[in-house]
Amino acid sequence: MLDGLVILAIGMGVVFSFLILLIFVVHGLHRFERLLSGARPGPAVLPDSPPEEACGEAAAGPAATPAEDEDEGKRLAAALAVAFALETQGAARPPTEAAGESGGAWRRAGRLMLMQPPARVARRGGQP
Amino acid sequence: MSLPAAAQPALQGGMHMADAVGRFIDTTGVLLFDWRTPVMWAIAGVVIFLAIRKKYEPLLLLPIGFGCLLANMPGSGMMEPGGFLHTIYGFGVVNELFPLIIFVGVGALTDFGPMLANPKTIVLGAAAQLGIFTSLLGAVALGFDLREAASIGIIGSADGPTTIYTASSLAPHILGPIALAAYSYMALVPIIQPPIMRLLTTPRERATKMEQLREVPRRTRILFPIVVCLFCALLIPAATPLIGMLMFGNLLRESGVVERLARTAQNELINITTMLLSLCVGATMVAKDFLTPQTLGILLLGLAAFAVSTAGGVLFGKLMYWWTGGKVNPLIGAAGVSAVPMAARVVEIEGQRANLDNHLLMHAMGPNVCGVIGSAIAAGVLLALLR
Repeated sequence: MLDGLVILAIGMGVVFSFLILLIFVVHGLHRFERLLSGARPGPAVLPDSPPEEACGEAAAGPAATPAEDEDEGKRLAAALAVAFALETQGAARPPTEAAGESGGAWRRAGRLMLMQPPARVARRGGQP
Repeated sequence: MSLPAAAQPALQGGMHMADAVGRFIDTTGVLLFDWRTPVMWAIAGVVIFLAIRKKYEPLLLLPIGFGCLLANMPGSGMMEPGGFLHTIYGFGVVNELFPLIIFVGVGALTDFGPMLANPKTIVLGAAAQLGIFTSLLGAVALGFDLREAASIGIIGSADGPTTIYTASSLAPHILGPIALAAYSYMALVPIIQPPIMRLLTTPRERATKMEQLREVPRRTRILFPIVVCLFCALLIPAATPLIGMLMFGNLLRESGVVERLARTAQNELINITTMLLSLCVGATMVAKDFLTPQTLGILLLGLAAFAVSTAGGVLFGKLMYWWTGGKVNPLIGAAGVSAVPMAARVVEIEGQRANLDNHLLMHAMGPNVCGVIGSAIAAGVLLALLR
């Protein structure tokens, strides 16, 4: 039993230490990014980019086009996400609220609707 | 028509028709049939039923159930040296190859964006590993040795490949019940977790809305898997195979230049490996090893591991709720057990029960993918100490 307690202490200690270190690593990566992007702005992708099944090619690759094309692309993705959400849920209610007015905000709102599965669907198999 | 050469000496020695029939009957499964055989068939049937009818982790439980059925066909020898299931088992499970290949696919399917966007939730992935180590203690108290106890405890990680990787290294003789418990409880996450989440939180805490996640630059997403791999190799080398393959798969996804490889890892590679691994794991459930009191203990301890891991995550989520002045919804702590993405979906559903406008899915995905890293680190610690 004493051995088990020792393993518990070491195990939880190491897991916590590693993941806390990971927090600092991520902060460091963000700083590094800010440092580089201050000199040369680079393309960014949204953190909540949807899985491939949901939007196919739309999620692949950053947009390196002018701002207008990018905005138009986001609007198109938003429209597709809303249409897909309505089709899947069989609901007649489009997203009526989005935090912000950009295409990305409406895309997220549409996707959040899409990602609300019925309770029984949650039991089905996911990642192995 | 002449008889095969092997049969000729026997006939020359005077074998009669009756002897030949007797010999043939001796090789049939009927005479090797004992009471344990139908019991194992029934267990395989239940697993297959759960997969097909109830759709509980069908990708895994269906081949596990059929593997169990094949391994318990009397006289077939499929799980004996030379048998085809034994050959696959030796090729991919004994040497821990299959779980690692599956981790490439898991990495290619995982979006670390929510975690990178809100790094403070990373720590929830650590808190939710509590069940691994407390169940280890419970298993030791029930009389399992340390290696068996560690293999049972890892069920609490809610991560199939990590569980199989650890158990096949530390206690391969109980791999079958451990894998069965792990995947069964993963399928039951929507049933096991909600009562614990409601018990440990107030309605006000559950209704907490969280701020929208910030954008994560592509460069950060590409650097993250490389940096994590380096840190892991330096600090916990025993976890490097798991973390390394996870991060390799993720780099395929995030690099954006090897779409074919990423798609292969996400689909064909993970599917073929999952099928072979699950079939082999099911085949380890042979009657003489499975129908023991130990199996019942493993199933109960696995359930306890899941529950404690969920409670650990939620309680740490509460701590973060108070620490941040109510900016973190404690429910997302429950997603710190791996079970991607089911645990995050459960958080979303419970959050919406408390507040219809509350969308926690992407916030829960952060601790959820961190749980995968946390469980791989926990497995690395156990392997480093006990292998």
